[in-house]
Amino acid sequence: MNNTLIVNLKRNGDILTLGHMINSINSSSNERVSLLIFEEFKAAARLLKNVYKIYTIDRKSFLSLKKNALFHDIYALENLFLNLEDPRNQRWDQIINTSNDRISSYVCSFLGFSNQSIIQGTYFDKNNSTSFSGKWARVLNDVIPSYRYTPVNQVDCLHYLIEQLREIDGQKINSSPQHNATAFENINRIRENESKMGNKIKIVGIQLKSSSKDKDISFNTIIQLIDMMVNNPAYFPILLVAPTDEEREFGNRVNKYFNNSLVSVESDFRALPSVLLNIDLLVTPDTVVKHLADLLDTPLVEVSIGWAPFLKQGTLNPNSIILTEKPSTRTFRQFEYETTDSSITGSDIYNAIRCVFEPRLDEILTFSSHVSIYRPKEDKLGVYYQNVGGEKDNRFDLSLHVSRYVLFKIVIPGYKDEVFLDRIANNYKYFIKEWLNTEKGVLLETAKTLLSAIRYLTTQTSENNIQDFTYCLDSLLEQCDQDHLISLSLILFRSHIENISSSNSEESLQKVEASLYDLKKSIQKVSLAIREIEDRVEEIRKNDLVMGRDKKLISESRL
Amino acid sequence: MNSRIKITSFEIKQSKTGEMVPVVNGIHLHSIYNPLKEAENLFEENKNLIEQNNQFLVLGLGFGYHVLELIKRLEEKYGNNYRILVIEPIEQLIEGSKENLQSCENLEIITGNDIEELYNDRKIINFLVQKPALLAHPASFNLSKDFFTSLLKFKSDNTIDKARYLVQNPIIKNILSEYPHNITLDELIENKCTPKQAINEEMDYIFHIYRELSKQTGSIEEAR
Repeated sequence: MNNTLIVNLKRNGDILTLGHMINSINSSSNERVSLLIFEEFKAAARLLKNVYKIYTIDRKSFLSLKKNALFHDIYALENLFLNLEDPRNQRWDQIINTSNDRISSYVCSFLGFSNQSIIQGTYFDKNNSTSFSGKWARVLNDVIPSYRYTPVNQVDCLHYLIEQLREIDGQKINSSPQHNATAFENINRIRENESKMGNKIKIVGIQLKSSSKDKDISFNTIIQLIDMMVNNPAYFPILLVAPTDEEREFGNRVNKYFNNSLVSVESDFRALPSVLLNIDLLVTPDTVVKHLADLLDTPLVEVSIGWAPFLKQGTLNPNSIILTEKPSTRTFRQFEYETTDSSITGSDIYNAIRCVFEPRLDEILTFSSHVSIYRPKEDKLGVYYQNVGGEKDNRFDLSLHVSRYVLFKIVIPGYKDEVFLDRIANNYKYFIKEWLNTEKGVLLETAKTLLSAIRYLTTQTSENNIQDFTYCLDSLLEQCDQDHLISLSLILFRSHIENISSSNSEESLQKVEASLYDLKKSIQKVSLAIREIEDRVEEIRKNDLVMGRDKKLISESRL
Repeated sequence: MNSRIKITSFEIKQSKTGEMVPVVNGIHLHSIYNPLKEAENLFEENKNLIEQNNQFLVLGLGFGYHVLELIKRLEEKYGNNYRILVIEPIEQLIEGSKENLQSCENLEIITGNDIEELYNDRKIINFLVQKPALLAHPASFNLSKDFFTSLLKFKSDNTIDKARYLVQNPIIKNILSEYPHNITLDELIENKCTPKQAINEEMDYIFHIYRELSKQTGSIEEAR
């Protein structure tokens, strides 16, 4: 039996989403999977099924020992070493780094040092340079956190990282039989009581708080939502409250508004799965509860608010809905984000709930201006997100889908997907041309700059050439944050050159030159992807003309 | 660092309610009327502390009436899930408190005047890292004010020399032996972790982890 260690030094939500990958590994191979996390998130990790052992770094103790002048720093170092001694003494066939940070990269290198374990993801080599196990490691670490149109869901990316197909079936969460029985009994009692009054109800759990105020659904919106639900005998809202003073207080405020008539369920991590298994739907902002519901196949309405990258860790459940302000009006970079009241109303959430239970309503129900709804869909590459109602956001959606196609084109050699091309061409045939022309223009300018950079680098005959090269390089890197298709190639290029290390400047320049030639190949792939899409759109438009289906073409040809 | 208190007189009186009360250098460490009631009042003023904490660092022992009350309240709230560490510099008080504080597995009483030695004690370090609530016994604190103030304001000597003395792990001890004794651990680590310095041995990675982790703050927690 092979031993795999998954390292994740992030928070509860990221740790829980590992459940998908652990399930896939467990379903397909004879691996024993262990986890290394920070001690403070152990309660969440314990929920994950098929985990052989959980190792922890006691970050809080480390920081107490390190930051407090009372203690000698050696205690912090020694504690850290003791935390890592157990996993260090194991033989790991594979270590998977699933968090993109320097600490986890050093930890993986340390734990793989003696046994020469295979490390998937990022690590530091013996020159102390960041190393990537492959292109997907770069996508995970550089593209997903910085590109506006999440081209691949993080869970899928983790699967690509370890070349593992995502297994949808299988139990991913440990739930306590005792809590299951209690939750079933209590929630079933509500169903029976309502049934006696002739109501066949759907029980909707409402997660009141998230880990960040920026992501929270406002008090007034929650009140409006519940008000609509209590006036419809088909729905029965229950408040989900974590055992913290802040959540209790907020829950009490909400309940007080309804004369304390609402059912409120307080549950810790151990009991929460049992509650989620027994409700029909969860309404939640972007929280760890969302990830847990996904792992339990409980459908949900995800209310996406705040700056966190949209769809990066979106729900994977095809029965769920994501409710968002029109994405093109949102910013997903924390430093640009300003807290404002969300346009999403209680009525929007209520309608999204109705859509989950009756998908035919997706395109029938109306939502507030500037509010869109998305559903997760699956294709052979994994999950993607389709706007299914509310306000259309064609430019955003087009960027979302085409960037996904382009990313796979860049990363997977020889990739071409006829079904994907058909979907893009059919859905956006009326306005894609103008958009692609803009992207092609940017691509052309980038290619010119790249060629200049190569020329200046290879003919460093004067100080001016070096300055010109630096200028070109800066221009290329500036494009990383512009969120064009070409930015995908440039982000991967940046990832290469930022991690070039050599004490020998000649060698460094050679590596830069090699990266520039790799970028050239990558740009050619983007160009090829654009051409494939253009060709497919052209074919479909011609076909439409022949079939007489293109009368709207001229009037709808602009975004 | 030694903040020994000079004891000029030590006597034991009986309170009006019959309990023994130590009087050190003329200072009554408990109420001469009713030490038990005084202890109750101390916690009535600090109710929130017990609501929110099950670990307490108590500065000053006296004859332990306040500790006895604390045990009672913590047991009511947390059952057996609590811990108390008492620090008392005057050794003579330990014996007198024994009658009140019969063996309690959740209670540890530490005595000693050498503050540096106290911070060399793993038991104390491991307890303090859990961030216990701090409770000063007013009369004891005033009596040994210099000692307790020095205890709270102590700054560790972070040299490698001291580290070698404190460290228990043989691997780390061995590594430290290679470095000058008068530099600090942070200086050693900064020296080992210059950006482009090659990794020569496994433990170099630990230094890098230590350095990166040290940059963090305590703010990545989330409720859920």
